[in-house]
Amino acid sequence: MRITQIDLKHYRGFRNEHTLELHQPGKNILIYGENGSGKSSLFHALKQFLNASDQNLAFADGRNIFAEPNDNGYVKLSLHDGSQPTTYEWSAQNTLDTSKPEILAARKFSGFLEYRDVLKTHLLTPGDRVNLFDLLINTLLVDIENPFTPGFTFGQNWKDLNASIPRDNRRTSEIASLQAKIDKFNDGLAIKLQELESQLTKVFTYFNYGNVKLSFALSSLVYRRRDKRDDNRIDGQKVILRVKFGSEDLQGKHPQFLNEAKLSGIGIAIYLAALLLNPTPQNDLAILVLDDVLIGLDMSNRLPVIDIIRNHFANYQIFLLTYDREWFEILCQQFVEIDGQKWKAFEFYCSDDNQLEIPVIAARGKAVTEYLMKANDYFKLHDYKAAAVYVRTAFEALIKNYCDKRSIPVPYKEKAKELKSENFWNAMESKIPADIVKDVKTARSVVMNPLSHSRIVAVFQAEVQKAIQAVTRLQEELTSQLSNDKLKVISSVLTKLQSGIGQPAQSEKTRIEKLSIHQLKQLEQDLPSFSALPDLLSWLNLHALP
Amino acid sequence: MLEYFEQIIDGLVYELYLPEDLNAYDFAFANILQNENLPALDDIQGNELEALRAIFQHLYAQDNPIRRNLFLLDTIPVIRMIEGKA
Repeated sequence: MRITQIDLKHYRGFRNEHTLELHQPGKNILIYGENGSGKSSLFHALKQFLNASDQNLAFADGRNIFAEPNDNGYVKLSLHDGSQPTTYEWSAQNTLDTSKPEILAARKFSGFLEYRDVLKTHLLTPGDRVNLFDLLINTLLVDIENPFTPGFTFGQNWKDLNASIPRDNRRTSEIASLQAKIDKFNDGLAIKLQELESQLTKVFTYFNYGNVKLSFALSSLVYRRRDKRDDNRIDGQKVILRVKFGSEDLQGKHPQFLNEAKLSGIGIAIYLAALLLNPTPQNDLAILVLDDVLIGLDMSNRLPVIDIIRNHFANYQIFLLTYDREWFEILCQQFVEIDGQKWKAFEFYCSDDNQLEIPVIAARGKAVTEYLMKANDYFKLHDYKAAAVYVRTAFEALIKNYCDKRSIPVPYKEKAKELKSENFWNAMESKIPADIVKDVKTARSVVMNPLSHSRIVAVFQAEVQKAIQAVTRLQEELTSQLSNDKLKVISSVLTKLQSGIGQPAQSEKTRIEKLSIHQLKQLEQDLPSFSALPDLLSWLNLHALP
Repeated sequence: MLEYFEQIIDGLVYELYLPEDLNAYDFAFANILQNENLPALDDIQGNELEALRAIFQHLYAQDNPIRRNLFLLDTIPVIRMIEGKA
């Protein structure tokens, strides 16, 4: 069972409706997204959807604060089990879908990991050691069943232990009962930590830190009666991660000795190893969502993660989210370009509007077309501001791609992010037909820039429409230039002219070469009606700029 | 190991009393175990504990459907109610 479509409306950063189409049989996805573009909103949408029933999560807590109060929001997952699709919804109106068995099963199998979680594996506690007890019991093993308490997980055990601490130490039977529970907890945890250690060794091997060995040192829980300082309590919550570096045992102080890459590698390996304690998903929904967990690793240290995913998580639907463009491109080469049937890449952007952030989502490679489609959709809904954001995003993607493909020099900036669309546009403007340049310039000054910023301006329907048309024509022009189509059409037009009405003058040829692809096609259509060369001149005077 | 065998027995009991509820979600224990051709305890030759440990390891393997079904048993609505998890 896999997710074939995700629909989000008014959830966290996603104001209005947004859809991610994952096709059948439910592709794995890679997402590149700038900060604030909605990556983490998607991460939390998936995580909270699966946990909504078990943790009594309310949709209202994650509702987009700018959404119209009466306009209902939702997170919808369309799942396909190989025979038929079913859509499940989590919203203020529908909380029942998230308690269905297939969703509860997905919650048990799935893993969600973000960079903050990785940090927890190397935070030093006041005793100057890395103590993983809380992380293990409240996160990694929270849903893992304690083999000594069938049907009950370590998370449930831990809650039960804390609820069973007697108030009065004269109640000896309560103390005995608690002690029995503590014993089962200790025994179960010891066994699970052995299994975890074995999985961890397997996963960590991929990172090739041959001189680093990992193991766990567990202290048993004990019941302590109240003393001068503290009340009755359970002590001994200690699971020290023992890291051996070469011949040295770092005694739980490894964050002081290991570099960031090794620490991140250890953290990621612990999380993934914990997931591998679960049985293998069969026809169950199981997703693994990694949100920028590799930012502490350089490129060579990130590559092992690709192998781990390939070799150990083949039964999972993978979601890899990153803000690192270079890493995204590597992942695309490794997954999407090799196996496009199973992988799909998306790009998330964000309008830099201070009043209203609008995530902009598109499939990689089809981004400009999708942005323009969205612009048209919002235009039809009379949301001109959103339409302008999409037009501008399409424009920026177009010109960056053109400069890149044509190797057009742009001013150097130490930080690539500081490059403005102005830099790209100025560098390429001379290569674009004048009529398109004129329309794009108007669109930029009248619609795209002011509307996409936090100024209050009058919005005119016709101007937004003209902006969409201008960028659509620019797309057509650039695409044809890049694919050499334009040269073919120019050559065909000149040949037809020569064989029909005669050889045009050089000045007319130059004007023809400067026509946009759209105009060239129009000229090709009108050619049969020309009887002599003056007809061509009239046509150029009417349709083309001097 | 003993606890895991107990869990399997619990699963069999649920299936015995609530066959429709389990079948509705494609959960089964009896059929899978029958296909395993497990020996009767009295028929085990040699070291019984070793033989039981080998059976346990097989049934506890991560890709064994019994392990998966036990893992997900408490996602079935009626079981959730019985176990106080609904």
